[in-house]
Amino acid sequence: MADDGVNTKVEAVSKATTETIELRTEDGGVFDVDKPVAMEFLILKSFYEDEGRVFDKTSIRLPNVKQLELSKVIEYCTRALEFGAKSAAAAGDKDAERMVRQEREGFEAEFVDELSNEMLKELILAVNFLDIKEMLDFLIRSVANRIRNRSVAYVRQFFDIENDFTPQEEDQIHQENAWAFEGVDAD
Amino acid sequence: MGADLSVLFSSLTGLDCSNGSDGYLCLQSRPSLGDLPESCVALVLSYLDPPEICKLARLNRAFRGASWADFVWESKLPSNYQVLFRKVFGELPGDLGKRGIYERLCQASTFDGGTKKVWLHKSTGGVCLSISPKGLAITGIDDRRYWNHIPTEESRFCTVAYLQQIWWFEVDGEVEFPFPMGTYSLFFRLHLGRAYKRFGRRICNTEHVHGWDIKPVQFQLWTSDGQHAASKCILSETGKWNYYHVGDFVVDNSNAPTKIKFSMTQIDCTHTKGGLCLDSVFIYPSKFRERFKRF
Repeated sequence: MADDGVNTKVEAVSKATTETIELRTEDGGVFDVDKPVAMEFLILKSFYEDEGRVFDKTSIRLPNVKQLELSKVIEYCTRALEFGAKSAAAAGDKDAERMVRQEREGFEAEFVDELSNEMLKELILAVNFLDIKEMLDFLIRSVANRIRNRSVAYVRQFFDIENDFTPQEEDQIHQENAWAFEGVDAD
Repeated sequence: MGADLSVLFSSLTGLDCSNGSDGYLCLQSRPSLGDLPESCVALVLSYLDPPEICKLARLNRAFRGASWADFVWESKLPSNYQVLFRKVFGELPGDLGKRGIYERLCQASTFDGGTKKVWLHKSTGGVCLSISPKGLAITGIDDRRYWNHIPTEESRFCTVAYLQQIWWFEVDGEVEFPFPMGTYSLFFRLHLGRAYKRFGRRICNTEHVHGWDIKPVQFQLWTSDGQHAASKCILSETGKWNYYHVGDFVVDNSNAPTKIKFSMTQIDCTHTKGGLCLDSVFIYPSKFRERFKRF
């Protein structure tokens, strides 16, 4: 199944003139997006496939997604498809596979380095809404990297969340988690 | 003319949307990252290590709930955790949930008649094993002119074997255990001199320490699948516990238990040796080796 998907992507990406969909963001941005890229957004994919709509050049408004976010999403998804195609082409050749992997890691590192915490959060919300599994996984991994070894206060501020526990609940939580912090494993 | 995703959007997030006259949506409130579904939060947590996951359970209800998600802990448990659990507790985990199983396995559990302890290293889930002197074959252990068992707080087993003096020093042992795949290092935890507390201070009595500086001690290990490691060392440092690295072995296949034999010898009978405390033999995942290497 996965192989079929990649082969379809390879065909789609290599078409000289690809079909496009027009996407409009809530802040007035207009994007012409290649169909293979747009179909990575499961929300769009199911909009067409589940509803049995004929794919024609149409304009879709995306509530709650801004220009900056959408352009980043399109950038990532386009490159992800390219890497997928390159990976498939390199299958069986260990060196080539490694090169593609390194290239991808380099791109992803650069991509996420340029994102502020704020932008990272905005992207997660947008990607969660658009339902793009691979990109969501990548963004979530990046968030984990940013909050790893940080204080509770820092992480609370990062996610902008309120402490919604009662004092009794806090005590309970303290007890049920104490095992993870007590004692030393090795002398 | 354009399609409108408002129907999809409201069904996905449950937000109340109303259409403006030109097709733009007016949303009641913009969702914040704190409103991410618990499954997304659990995904974030799954990339962190267990102590961090438990630390962040304090953030809010969503994080607390996510910190109990089975799929988060499935990835932290050793691949053969059910076999491990049964070996140590004699029965399957029951309905503890994956986090409960992890927590239980992190506590040092005694098995094999009290001669061995096993636990998971909290951050990495690596299996750690410790074997007490009572689980080892020590030449002359029953002769109180040579060896004595002395109680101490400085051992997981609350007692260590103390050697006064002997000509033929030999300690052998073996263990069969379902180690998960990986590379492991074996150590002897030893102390030259006999430590005790006086008026709350730790004193070390070295009156019996002798004979270790003449010839080195030989360490060896063998596995049932043909691996062998050896090392040797002159014991010299008194007054503190040291881990002497015997060697490493690799577990390729966690379906069958791994059988390891090991020994520590100093059998040059031209001289006696003594004043040594033997706490236990340790087996740790090799990545911790650098923390313990003493020679």
